[in-house]
Amino acid sequence: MLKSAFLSLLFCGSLASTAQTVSSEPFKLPSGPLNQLSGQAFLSPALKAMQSDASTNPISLWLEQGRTLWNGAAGQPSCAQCHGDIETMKSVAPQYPKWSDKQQKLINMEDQILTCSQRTLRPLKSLENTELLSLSAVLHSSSAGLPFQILPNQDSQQRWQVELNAGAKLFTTRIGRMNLACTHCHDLNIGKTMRADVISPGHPTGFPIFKLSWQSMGSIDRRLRACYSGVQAEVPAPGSPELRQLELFLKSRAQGMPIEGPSLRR
Amino acid sequence: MSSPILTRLALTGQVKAGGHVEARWSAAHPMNSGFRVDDSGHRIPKNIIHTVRAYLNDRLIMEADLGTAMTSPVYLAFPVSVPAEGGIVKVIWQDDLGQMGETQQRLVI
Repeated sequence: MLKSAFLSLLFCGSLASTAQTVSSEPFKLPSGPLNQLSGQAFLSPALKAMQSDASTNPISLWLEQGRTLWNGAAGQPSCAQCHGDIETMKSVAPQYPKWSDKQQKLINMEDQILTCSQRTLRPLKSLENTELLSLSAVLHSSSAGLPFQILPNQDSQQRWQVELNAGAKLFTTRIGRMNLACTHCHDLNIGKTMRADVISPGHPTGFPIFKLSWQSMGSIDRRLRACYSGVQAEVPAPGSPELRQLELFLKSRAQGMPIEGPSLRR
Repeated sequence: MSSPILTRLALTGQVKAGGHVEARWSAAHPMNSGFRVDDSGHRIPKNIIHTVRAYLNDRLIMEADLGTAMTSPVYLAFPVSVPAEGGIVKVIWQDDLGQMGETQQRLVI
C-alpha cells in the first residue's frame, strides 16, 4: 500500500514536470493574414507536442480501434471486405457533407458510416458512438493532406445550393441570449482572446477532434452543438439539418484547405 | 454492455540492455467519479480504474492505486529497466465494475 502510494506520487511528479518544460514556450500566432489559418495554428506548444507524439496523443487509442474495425479480426466481418484497403478510401472524407438523393437530405461522413453500418451484422446506434468515431477518425486520417472537395452532384445542383445558402444564412444570423452570429467571432475577431482562448477562423479541417474538456473524441456535429450552447441558444438535436447546413457552409468556406486528420483541441 | 475499453501501451526510447525505456500506458475509460449526473439528473455510479499493475517478464514492477481525480483517458508513464535478455512488459487494470484488461508489448533488443 505504502509502496504504491509512493509510486503514484512519483507519477504526478514526472507528469507535471514534462508538462512544465513543454508549456514554457510562449504561444504565438504566425504573422500575415489570419483568416486562412487552420485550428492547428491556435494550439499551445504543449498541445502540439502532445499531438505530434503517438505515444502521448490520446487519439491513437481511437485510430487503433478504427484500424482494427476496418481490417477486422481473424474471421470477423470487416469494412475492408467491401471497401478494400483504407488507402483506397482517402478521396471520400473530403467530399462530405453531400446531398443524398436516396435519403433526400444532406449527409456527412458520420451519417454515412451510420447508414453503412445498418447493412452489416454490427449496426451502430448513435452518431457519437465510440466505434463510429474511430472509423471516422481513420477515414479522415487517411485523407490527411488532401483538400476539401465540396461540390454538388450533377443532378441535385439546385437542392445543394439551397442547403448551402441556408448554411450561410445560419452563419450570419444572431442567436441565443448572447445575441451573436458565428461571423461576429470567426470572421470579425480572429486572433483576439475570448476568455483564455484565442479565436480561430473556424475552419473545420481537423475533425473528428479529441477535445480535452470532453475527455473524449467528438464529431463536428457535437462541436457545432457546443457552439449553440456557448452563445446560450437552444441546442439542436444531434443530426439536425441545420447542423449539416452549417457544416456544408463551413467546409465550402474552407474549400482548398487541406484536411489535417483527427486533431487535439482544448 | 458498452464497447470494450480501449487501451494502448507504448515503449519509448532506445531499447538497450542495461538501459531504460519509458512505458506510456493509456486507457479510454470513462472514469466516472460518482459525482456526475446523467441527462435525467440521476447520479452515475462511481466506476474508475482503481488498480493498475505492470509486469516485466511476469515480475511486478509497478502498482498504482488510482483515485477519482484521474482524468479520462487515463495516462500513466513509468520507467522500465531493460534486462539483458529483453522481455515482455504487461499492464493489467481493473475497475469498480470488475472489468479487467491486459495490454502487452515486447522489448526487443
